[in-house]
Amino acid sequence: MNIAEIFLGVMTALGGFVDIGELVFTIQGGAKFGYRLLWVIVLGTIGIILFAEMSGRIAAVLKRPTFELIRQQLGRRTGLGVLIASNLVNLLTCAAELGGIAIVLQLAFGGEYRLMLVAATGLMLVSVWFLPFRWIERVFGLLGLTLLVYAWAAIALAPEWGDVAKGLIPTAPVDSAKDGVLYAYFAVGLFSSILMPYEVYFYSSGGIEDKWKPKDLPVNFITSTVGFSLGALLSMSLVVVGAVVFLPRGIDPDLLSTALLPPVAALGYKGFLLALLGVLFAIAGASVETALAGAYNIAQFFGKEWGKARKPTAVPLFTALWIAMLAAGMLIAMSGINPIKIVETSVIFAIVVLPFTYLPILRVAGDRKLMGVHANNRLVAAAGWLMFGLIVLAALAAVPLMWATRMGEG
Amino acid sequence: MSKRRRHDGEAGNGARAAFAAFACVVAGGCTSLLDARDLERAEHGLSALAAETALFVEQFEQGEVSRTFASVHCAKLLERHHDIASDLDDPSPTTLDARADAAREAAAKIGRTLRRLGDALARGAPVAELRREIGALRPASPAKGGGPT
Repeated sequence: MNIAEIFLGVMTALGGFVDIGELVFTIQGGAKFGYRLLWVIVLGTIGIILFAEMSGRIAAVLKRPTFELIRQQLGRRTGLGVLIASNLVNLLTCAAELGGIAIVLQLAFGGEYRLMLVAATGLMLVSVWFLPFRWIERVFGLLGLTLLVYAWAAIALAPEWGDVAKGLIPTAPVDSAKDGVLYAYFAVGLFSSILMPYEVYFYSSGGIEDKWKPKDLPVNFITSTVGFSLGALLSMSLVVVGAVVFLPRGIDPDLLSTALLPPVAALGYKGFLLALLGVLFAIAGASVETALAGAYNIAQFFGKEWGKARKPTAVPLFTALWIAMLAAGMLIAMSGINPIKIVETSVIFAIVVLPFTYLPILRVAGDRKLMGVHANNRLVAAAGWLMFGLIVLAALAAVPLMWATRMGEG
Repeated sequence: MSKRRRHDGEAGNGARAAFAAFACVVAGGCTSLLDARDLERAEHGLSALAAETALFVEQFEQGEVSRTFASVHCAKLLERHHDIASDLDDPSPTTLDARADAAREAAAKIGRTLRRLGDALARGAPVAELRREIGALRPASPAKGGGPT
């Protein structure tokens, strides 16, 4: 095992953990319910660790990507439905991330939103075209570490740590039934935002791009468990800053620019600069991942040539697909809809589709005929099936909660 | 259909209108009468908007955020204000008239102050005087305060 490789992998996973959806739901959750949603981050992180570790293990052992397995496990017709739904969610997420980059550029340099959106999309196109796969992963992941300014701010704001710890135990607000429904909506949204499946499509496809072998399984295990656990701490700090800065003032952080204010409150101008950079790199990385994940999914499902590690002209369909994802994302964001509203929609629908992508991975990862000694052990199998049950519950509740709370407006 | 959704549609953009229609159906907010829930949401929104304005103007005055940021953020708050104020344009039932009028008045004050703040930020003018006004803007609201638990 190469320690430097593992360290870089962990840091990349940490830096790439938070995207615009998670940023929105965690800070809003803190602003509305204090620390009471922290336990959801723990639950969601266990889910994403299980999902990513199993997908990475399948990639290393079988060298088969997620959507090839989905087609084989669910059949072509159902699989196609899952592909369409997954890619619609990917596209909405990509649009929200591009819109988010445009807003951050606008906040930094002024100018017109649509102009910044075109610039943002152009920058992402050039980055994906010219940067090798590993560089894409590492550059955005490592630069995304600037988002750790929120952890710094959380510590500097000196919350009551005893109260923070209490948030790790599930409790629902008892003020009214309406509060309970809103709390449930945010719990499901936060759970979903951590489990956004594009991260796993990108992660497992990356494992195949990097030519993982069974000997790389420890890297996969450490990257997913340690990297995502550290990412969870970052997410918790987002809840904490939302709770300390916004809740007492009664502020609703439903603008991306509002999400930048807590590090400013804690650290002044340096907090402002670091938050601006951290949010920019985190959502830029996520926009690239969603675009590539969309292209991976389609190419893998239809058995076409794919790979960012290959020359763009050697995989023309794959290249056209990720370009199309970015272009379509830009057009959606161009409509002027608040990216926060777009991402809330994509996060809620992501959990609805998730059972259909999680189940094939869970089944294959546990299949001893296919995976041999690398199949799920009893503990992972039990945790995996328990998590599947929770995902199904969240999927069933998501849309009714979205309707009942008017997309979280109360 | 609430005014906010109508405003989205009038922007003349197909995608925006389609999304607005979708949100309208999903969110169940397609009523033409301002009900108690809409009013409470608008009051809460206005209160949150005033509190946020006070916070970021204070940060701006202390040199903790750039003028460009403050100016763009102010414009975005004004867009949000427009959405809330448009919702309040819907007629209210007589039982809610007094509350709705108070909310409309607060919305008008907040809107005027945000526009003046935006102008001052764009011209590079000082905002100290406006800061005092902003402090007094926050309307009575059902929004919860208190510390996090």
